[in-house]
Amino acid sequence: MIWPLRRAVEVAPGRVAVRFDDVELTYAETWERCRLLAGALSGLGLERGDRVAVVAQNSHRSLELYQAVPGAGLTLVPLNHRHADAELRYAIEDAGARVLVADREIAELPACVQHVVDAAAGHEELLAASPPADFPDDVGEDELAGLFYTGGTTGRSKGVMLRHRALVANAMNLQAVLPFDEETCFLLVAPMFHLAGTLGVLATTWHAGRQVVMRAFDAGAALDLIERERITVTQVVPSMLAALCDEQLERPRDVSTLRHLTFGGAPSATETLRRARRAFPDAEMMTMYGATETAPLVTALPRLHRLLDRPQAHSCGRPLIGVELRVVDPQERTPLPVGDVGEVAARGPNVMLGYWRKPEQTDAVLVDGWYHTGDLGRLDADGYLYLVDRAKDMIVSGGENVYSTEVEDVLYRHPAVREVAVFGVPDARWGESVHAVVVPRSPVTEDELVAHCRASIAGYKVPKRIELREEPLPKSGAGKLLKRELRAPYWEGRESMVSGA
Amino acid sequence: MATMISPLRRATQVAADRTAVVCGSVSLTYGEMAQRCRRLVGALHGLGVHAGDRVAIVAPNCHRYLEVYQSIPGAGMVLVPLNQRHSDAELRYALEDSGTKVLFAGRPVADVPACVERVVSLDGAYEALLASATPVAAFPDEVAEEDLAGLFYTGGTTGTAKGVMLTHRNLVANAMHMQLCWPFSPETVWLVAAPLFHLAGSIAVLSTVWNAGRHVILPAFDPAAALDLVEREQVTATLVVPSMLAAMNEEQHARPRAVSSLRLLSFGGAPSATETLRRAHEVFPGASLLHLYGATETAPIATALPGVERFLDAPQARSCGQPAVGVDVDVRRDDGSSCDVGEVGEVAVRGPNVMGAYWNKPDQTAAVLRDGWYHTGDLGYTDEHAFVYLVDRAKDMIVSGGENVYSTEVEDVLYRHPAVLEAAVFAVPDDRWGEAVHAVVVPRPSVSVSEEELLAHCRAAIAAYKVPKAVELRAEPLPKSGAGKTLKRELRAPFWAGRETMVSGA
Repeated sequence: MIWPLRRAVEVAPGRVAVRFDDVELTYAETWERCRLLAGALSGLGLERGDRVAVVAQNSHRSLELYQAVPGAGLTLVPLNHRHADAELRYAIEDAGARVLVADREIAELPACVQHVVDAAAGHEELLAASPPADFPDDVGEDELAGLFYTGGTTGRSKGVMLRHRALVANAMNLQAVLPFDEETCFLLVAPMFHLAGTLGVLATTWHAGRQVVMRAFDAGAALDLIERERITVTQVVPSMLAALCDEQLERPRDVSTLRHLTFGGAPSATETLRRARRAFPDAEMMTMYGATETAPLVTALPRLHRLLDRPQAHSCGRPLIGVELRVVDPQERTPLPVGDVGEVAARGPNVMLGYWRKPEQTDAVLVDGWYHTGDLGRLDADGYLYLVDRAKDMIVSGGENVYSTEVEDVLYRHPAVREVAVFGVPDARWGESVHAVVVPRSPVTEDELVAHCRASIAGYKVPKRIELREEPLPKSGAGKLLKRELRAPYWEGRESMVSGA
Repeated sequence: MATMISPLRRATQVAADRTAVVCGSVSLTYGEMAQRCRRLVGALHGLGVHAGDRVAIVAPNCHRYLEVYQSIPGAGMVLVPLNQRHSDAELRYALEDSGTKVLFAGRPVADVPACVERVVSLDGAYEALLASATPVAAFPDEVAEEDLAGLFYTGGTTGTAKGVMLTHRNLVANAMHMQLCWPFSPETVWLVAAPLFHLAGSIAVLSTVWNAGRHVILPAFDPAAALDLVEREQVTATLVVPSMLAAMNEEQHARPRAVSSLRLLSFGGAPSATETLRRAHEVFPGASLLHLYGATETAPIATALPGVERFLDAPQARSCGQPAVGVDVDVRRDDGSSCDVGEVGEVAVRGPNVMGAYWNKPDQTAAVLRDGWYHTGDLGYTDEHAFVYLVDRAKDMIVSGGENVYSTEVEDVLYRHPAVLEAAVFAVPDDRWGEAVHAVVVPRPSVSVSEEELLAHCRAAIAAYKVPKAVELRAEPLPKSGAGKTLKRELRAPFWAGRETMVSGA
């Protein structure tokens, strides 16, 4: 993970590497700061393989941590800034993080944490007080670079183990579909604790391009930056794309430098894409699909703007160069013929090593090098992948994954709840939104249940609607909840039960 | 993990009906190419060839070469591509050294060694073999990226010839690095102009296939034929060696074709003279010039200089460019430490593209591979932006028209002539070939020998491109060091007077 920066500082020490608010750093300065950071972490007593957790909004410092922590042979644990304390505590403890870099309070930190470093002032103090350290030359590409938590408070939350090679391979695979060069200026707007946020970091750095970092997404501020910093490429989630389009169509900026506009998550609504075409006529649009477990890219749909009237616009695109893709029988895990719906599986050097200390969950998804995504889809004769549903009970809302069972668990903990089902419904802004159906055992209001959820899980996981009903939830003969029947009416008239904004 | 067959798997998945290759009157889709490749593997299994066995090919460029190039490693066998211009003796050495079982031959090879169980002529016999074979259902899934994909011989009849062991990962990594030097796409139409037995010739095969682009094959280099193909097939990209580039410049200048489709003109093998580059930019104004430097041992790309046309008046035009994305390049002192900017040392390369070893040559391997770094034998320095400038070769090697010639091999041949008392072979600058092989010979006293006799003697033993262009006879002994070592540098220097380096391309 440190090779790209090492090359950049060799080929272009004087070029601007990063801009964040009024901070501007060259590659030589970034390199020196990263070496100081490596020295500081070693000064805190960290040894090879130790975990460093980060809970922070985006900044140039997050970029330094992203490269210097793995570069120093340590393991980065980037955590979701929006998570509740309980969720963060779970991940910090599970990972056994010895150092926590944070820009917010987290109550009752687990005992494994020996040092808490403030992500702004504390980070700077640490650098000022440390001698720089050389990055070790013997960090192997198979060593663990990061643990990326898929979220949640319970056993379902898993630390995805990505080795250096996985993230480097992803950087290569990305470049095979999206050309980078020294003129690349990447606007980093998605949160960096997600792989979607850091998607372009290694590729941009490798070419000694420039990165402009936004603390948090705001459509107006993002467009101002695109104009002022002459941004050439950015990566957003579909809900951000919709907001960018609205803002640009209402108050147009000069966005003619933007050559590539890429977005991940679920396929976007055609109407959003059309608006994006109008708002950003000079930008090539590209959809990308993947998972944390694949570091993350699996497919891409480049030149999407040329396909808007064609069925391929509803696909996730085709396998990236460097990634193998197939659709398999969800039970047998054997390949299915073209056109058949099955589970989407991917293979390549980008696939995770496994889930941290969860051999059973690992074995359930990793078979012969193939990662089974839990998504249901089909391939057409030209290799385009169409998602039709998720095998995993998961909702993707505004680019965040929400596991239904986690929300159901929280609702079940309320004394008035007899039965509950949580699922995704289409949402014009967030792609999908979290929807709950509750059968009460005693009188309770929607507001009371929402407040109950809010106390224990992140805001984006809290159901947008809680529907109270008297009759029991539909069940199969074996007594299994038939969630599909509950969901179906909301998705009527759509081709799939997966949606982006 | 990706292997040499992964690109074809993807191309068949995403674009089975697109044209994969155009070669003369033959045009094949990816579906057809994949089918032919599966037949080829079935045929080899029928001949008793299995995973790990070596299969050699000595042939001019053709669509069948592409099939062999992908299928042999894809089936877990080991590809041994041999130089079509080598003499029989040279080919026999490599066939025997590698223990080749089956040879695909586009030319006759006399007295093949006993290990070769079957020679398949690469036209009628190849097609008959395919026609009679049962195709395998799929390429085996158990071929691992660390498995040996090919043995690439660096040439020669003696101990100097080495089989460079490249794994699937080496070649796949290079395919990625190539794509980062230049964006490939389904619209890429790649002209295979350099010989496919060289990594320069096959440099873009995997990248083009991975993108489901199209190959256009030039059987043997000829500047007029190359330009005709560029025009007719709307070629978008190619790679040539500097001497080919110079020839294409002249042809395009004399008889212009419509070459606006050509967006990438890449070249490697040796630094090209700035004048050649200037000329190329004039006659191919729509093409970006890309200089690639590397070695067989690095599969091959180490450094890249994209957009050379931007540097024509700058010193960087004479560099090899900067480390390619994905490759670590360092210039080192003899003790292994890194040189300072401007300090001359040996160019070393590290990355997933670096070979595992030389075949059955642990001593030679240990001499060049240290701590994962391959030591190229090239001497150079870097500037403050990591541009690499070559100044000389540590190895006693001549690069002529894109081919490497080892001086010692040519000297050995000369020494076998009874009239030769002393011989020194080295490179002199050559406008057409970059460098030419030059020999200085001191005949035995009272024995008379002519330049023509010595040239004929060489021609009988080694490939024509290795035969000295001139043999200079002189009466006085060659200059020696105190320890008695020939001071070749003193002999070479006058030929290179007025130049900044002792390395030259056309």
